[in-house]
Amino acid sequence: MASPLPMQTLSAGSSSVRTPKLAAVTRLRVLDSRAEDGISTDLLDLVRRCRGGDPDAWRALLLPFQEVGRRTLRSFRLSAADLDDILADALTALYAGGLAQFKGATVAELVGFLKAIVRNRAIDFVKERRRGEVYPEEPAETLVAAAVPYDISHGIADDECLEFLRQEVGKLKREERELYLMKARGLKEREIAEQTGRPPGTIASQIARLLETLRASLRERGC
Amino acid sequence: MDHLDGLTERLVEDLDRRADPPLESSSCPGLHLLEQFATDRLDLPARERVDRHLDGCLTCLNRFVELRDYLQGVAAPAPVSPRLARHLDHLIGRAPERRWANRVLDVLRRALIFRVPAWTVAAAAAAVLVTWTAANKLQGPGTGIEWPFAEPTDSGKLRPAHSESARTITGVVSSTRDATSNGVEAYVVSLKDASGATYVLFTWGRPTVRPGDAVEIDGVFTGATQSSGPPVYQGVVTQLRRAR
Repeated sequence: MASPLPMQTLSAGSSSVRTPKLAAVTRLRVLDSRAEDGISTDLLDLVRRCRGGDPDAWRALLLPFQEVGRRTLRSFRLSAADLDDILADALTALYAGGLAQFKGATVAELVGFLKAIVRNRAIDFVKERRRGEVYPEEPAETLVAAAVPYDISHGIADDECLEFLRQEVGKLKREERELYLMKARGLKEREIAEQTGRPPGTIASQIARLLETLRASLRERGC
Repeated sequence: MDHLDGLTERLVEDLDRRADPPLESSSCPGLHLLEQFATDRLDLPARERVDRHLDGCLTCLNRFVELRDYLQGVAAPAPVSPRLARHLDHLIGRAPERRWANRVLDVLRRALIFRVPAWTVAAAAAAVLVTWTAANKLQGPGTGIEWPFAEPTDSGKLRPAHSESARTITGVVSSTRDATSNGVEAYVVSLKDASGATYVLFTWGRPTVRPGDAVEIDGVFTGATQSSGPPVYQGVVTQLRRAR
């Protein structure tokens, strides 16, 4: 199987945030059956080989596919077993001809394509699960409360708060904005540390301070 | 989940939604340019341009952060989930890779066993069955072993020797006849004992006795035919010696 590439740091991205060098992203080291040791294989070439039915290419593609899949499913907050089920389902779709639909020419497009496949499967999975769920009978009080007209001012207030938050985030330094977005996208502190090249402890305290600042701003605004 | 968490979730959803339509037509950098920026493949002026844009565009910064995260995962993937690997093996239609010990055993087994095609084994089994059936038919009721000497009794055929007992007799050789057949040197020795009973005995190899010699013989004998005259015994000599 592919061995992880060594992490390097470089100032790609923000000038203030040290982000890892990702130039090697499009060149993956995968174990190829035709060679004794690992050889460098282009990710897009791997896709071409998969389309040709090469089993070793499929095994090598499993690694990037899993990474894209796991990241896509972060926001769904699923169990590990459910996550595997969805990825297996998406993999079946890709193997059954789905990958042939990919017409892109860049790794970013491939990532987007795999993300869409996994995301669609996850939405189907969640819908199916909700359909199977049995809800307990709601008490009369709840039904009466639900019958009360929705206070539209709450929605407006929320929209105002959202806009206020957007402005507050926009006022942050670039480094803090990136940290906020990484945290908001569900990255763990360890992952953020890997991508920024800074110690996890520093990341944790920076994020805590940042979130506290935003909370204080929201409170002050009445949100 | 506090209020900030809820608003943050909505903000990211909104930023994702804004990035959904292609941004290439606007002043925003396209996905390909962001990928080149993330993988440090832009020349300095282009990199500075993208960098400046990300400073002022939260939608593109969100897109860039997401793309960088995906690319990072692709560049440094975690080990594959065994369940997912098994699923792929199932899809490919191959059995999962076995442990090395099993593979070594398999190689040894293949090296040591005598590989015979299945059709050869089947043909050999069929030949044995046909031969056995044919032999059974030929040796069915009414058929018997053909002895290489004239039938001395009126019983028709000899009964199998194994049904008889071994014993020792003494008598005088009356004749020896060559019964060599198909390269097997054999003789038939006839003798009479003191009671007048006749013995017709089969022996391998040239006998060292002559007619008129008194002999002592160990052999396997069939039952005697009791006719009106003296009994006649048949048998096979296992040991022949001169009588003292």
